[in-house]
Amino acid sequence: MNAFPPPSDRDDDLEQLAEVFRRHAPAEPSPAQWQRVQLAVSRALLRPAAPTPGFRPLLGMMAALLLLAVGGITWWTFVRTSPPPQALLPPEQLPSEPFAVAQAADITIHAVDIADADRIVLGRFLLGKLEFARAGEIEVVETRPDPAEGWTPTMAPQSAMPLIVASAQEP
Amino acid sequence: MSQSSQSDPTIATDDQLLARFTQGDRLALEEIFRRYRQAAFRVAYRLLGNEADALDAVQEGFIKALSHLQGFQGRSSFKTWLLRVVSNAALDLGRSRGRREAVRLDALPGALHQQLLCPEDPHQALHREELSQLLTEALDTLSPIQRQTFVLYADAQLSYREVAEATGASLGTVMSRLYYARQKLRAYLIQRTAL
Repeated sequence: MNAFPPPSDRDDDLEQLAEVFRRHAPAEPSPAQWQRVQLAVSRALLRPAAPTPGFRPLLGMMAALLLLAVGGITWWTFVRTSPPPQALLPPEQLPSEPFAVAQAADITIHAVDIADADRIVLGRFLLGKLEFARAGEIEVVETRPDPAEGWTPTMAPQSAMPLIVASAQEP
Repeated sequence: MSQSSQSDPTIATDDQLLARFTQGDRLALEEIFRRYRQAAFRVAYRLLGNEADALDAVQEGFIKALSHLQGFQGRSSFKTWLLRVVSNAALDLGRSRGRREAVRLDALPGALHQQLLCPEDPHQALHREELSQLLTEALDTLSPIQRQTFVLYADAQLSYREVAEATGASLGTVMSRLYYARQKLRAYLIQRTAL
């Protein structure tokens, strides 16, 4: 420890050297640079003003009341709209067709999305055997540009045979 | 905590400013920043060697120091606590970005190089900027921990004990680091300027 200066005094030699460094301190940043740093520090440390402590219990109570009200309304709506519980029937007493079936005459199609075209059979009922056509057996009569779907083919418009159009495979 | 303005009762102490800051007082934060920004910048600049990185370290240091005030338990002054955080931020930044190389003296114009090596009065012969550069080079000869210790002592004017608090080292370790730092700096400066 004798090799080092005592802690109570600043060593003259060291102090002289330190003074040289202090005399040649780096130039001060510009006011604009200080402003930028100070702004960044303020933004990081100061959040928007929080409510004063006096209002906090009141806000808590209001939030609790609001939650209670929303919960009550939800429960009341659920109770009113839920059907009364039904006893399960034994299998032998279940109806043969549990769901109502619509006839063709009951349905009027107003519009069909092109994406659903492959799910709907248009034309007569499929009573016979389903046959698959090959690509070469289909004649494309014409194609027309469609603003929404691009080029849409029209195939055999006068054919009496029902036609199922399968959607192209997704790439 | 520090009572940096004890002599003038009209000026808020660090304790008062920090208390106001913790309640969201923007003006208190601005005063703390204004009060210590220069010391923080000098320390960061000496450790990083350029202004842009030093300002980044100052910004990060202030944010860290003031957002972790619970870690500052008043055992040292706020200035010491802040400079500890700023200098550590600067060392971290230096490690990640690298302390930018100071311009070598050999790269200076020939006439100035001669003036540096064989001056009649080096302190007067050297321009301020070149001497600052020479000091930056001299600091480069120190290890990061020696540099941090010396800079906190010389530029931030902390006492031995405050440097010990800021670096988390014992008093003896600080004295040892300063001793070897002084030896290295002096040897380099003598070699370069033939003092």
